[in-house]
Amino acid sequence: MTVRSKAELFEAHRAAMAEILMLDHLPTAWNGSVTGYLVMASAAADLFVRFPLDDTYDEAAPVFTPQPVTPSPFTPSPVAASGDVA
Amino acid sequence: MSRPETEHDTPLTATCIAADVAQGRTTAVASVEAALARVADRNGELGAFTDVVAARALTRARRIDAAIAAGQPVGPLAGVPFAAKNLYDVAGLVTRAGSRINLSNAPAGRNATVIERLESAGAVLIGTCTMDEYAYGFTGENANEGPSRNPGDITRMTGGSSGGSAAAVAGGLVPLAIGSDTNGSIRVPASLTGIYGLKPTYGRLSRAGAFPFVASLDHVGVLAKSLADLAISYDVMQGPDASDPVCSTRPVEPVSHVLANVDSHVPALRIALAGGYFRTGALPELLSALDQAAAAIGVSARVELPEAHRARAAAFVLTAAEGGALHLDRLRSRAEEFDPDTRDRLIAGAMIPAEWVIKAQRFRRWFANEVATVFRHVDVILALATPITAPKLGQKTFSFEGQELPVRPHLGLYTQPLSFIGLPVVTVPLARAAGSLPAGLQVIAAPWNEAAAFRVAALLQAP
Repeated sequence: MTVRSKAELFEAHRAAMAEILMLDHLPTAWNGSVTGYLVMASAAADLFVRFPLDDTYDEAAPVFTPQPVTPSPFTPSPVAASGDVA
Repeated sequence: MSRPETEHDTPLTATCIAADVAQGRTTAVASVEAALARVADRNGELGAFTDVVAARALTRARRIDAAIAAGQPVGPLAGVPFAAKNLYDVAGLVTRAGSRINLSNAPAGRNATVIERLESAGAVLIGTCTMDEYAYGFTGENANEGPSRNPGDITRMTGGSSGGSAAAVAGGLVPLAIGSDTNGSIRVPASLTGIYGLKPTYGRLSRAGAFPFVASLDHVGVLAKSLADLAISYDVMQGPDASDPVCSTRPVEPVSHVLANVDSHVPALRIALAGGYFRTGALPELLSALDQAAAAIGVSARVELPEAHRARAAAFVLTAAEGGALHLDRLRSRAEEFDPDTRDRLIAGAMIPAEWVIKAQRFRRWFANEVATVFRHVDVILALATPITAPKLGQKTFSFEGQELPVRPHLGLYTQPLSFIGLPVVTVPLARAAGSLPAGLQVIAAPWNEAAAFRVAALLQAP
């Protein structure tokens, strides 16, 4: 099996992703510096993606917290108010 | 006695201006006119402002003077001129966010919350300031707006991304300016220009009306020439705001009184220097200045923030990915209008695998818990704000221990792991030998304990 460098792998990833993200029409999306930045990001990710963490609910942010809703004032309809409901 | 300012005067502090205006020794109009004259005089050299709102400022100043004449209350910052990074909404102005693309947006319909709050306290907005494009940078350089220049040496960087705000304050154009800090964008320019900076706890100040960069890391903060000005402007900007979902509902916790009582009422604080990661990669002369500052207040103990290098790496990945996602539509349609450096990083960010982002967020929680453990035994931690002094404009690398290292990422070496977990930090200028370039130290506290950081900052600035 051919061993490919990270830069080569990201070159292939970039080509595919540029098409998926609809950036492939841009000459700039094929700029070699984009691959360079991806290699940098990959080196950064290597520092934490395999860091051992328990499988728990521990998402830090952005945090989604459902908020209660205050109902608008309720005005009973004449039918409901009369109690004449089938 | 009257102390009128002229365009050649060194500006007074915000606290001093407000007292003079409130007590009739000068007027808000005179204060604003003097600031406008300083901007006209020096902005060409410093590249601090993109938009100056002179008519708006003078109208507001006249209202303050009229209120004083009528015996009405005017607020603790009456007549104080201030500036805002140009990512903050100002009603009637297009919110540039350092970008050419944003110039085709409609003008903002209302002011950002923090501008409203400063103006409610009597401060007067003079204009908006240059920044790295979309806040993605540590240098203050911008292909669209030109660079902000360091007032101490205009051939050098201010640092960024709140570079124009730092140039406006350090250059004496205004006593205070609002910035924003995602990975160090207040602390880095404060350090390189020798002024004070505050990045409060994540969620402390409302971001409503600020153009976003990385929602999970963006903070609002302020830069000032004096610690008292930093404190009072922070106090008046606090408070809940439902318009920013991250903004805390905590009540206002003022810190100005802390500075007034720093000698007599400071409870014993446990202070330590950050060791390990935070002492690697810095110029020895800056580490020495930090140690001297710490020794002057009797601090020599050291603590470690575990795995800080991984925290910085995770912040880097989150920044790239969230920034890339935010700007993807603009990248598709208007890529050629980006600053080329910003564009290529954002495109790369848009291609980052989801696993990295999710694991960065999970690591964030772990790191926050570990640092919380450290803060059970220490109240405040000291570290350098930047590992180097201001590089030359356009400088891409610098030599360190026989290696050529990239300038831009290295500037955020010590700030990035701290904003990653939202810690409050006050940046204080380090005492340096005459003729030396400025540098700052970070006074770091546990979340929501800005008061402790201000107490120690006050101790550090005491002679």
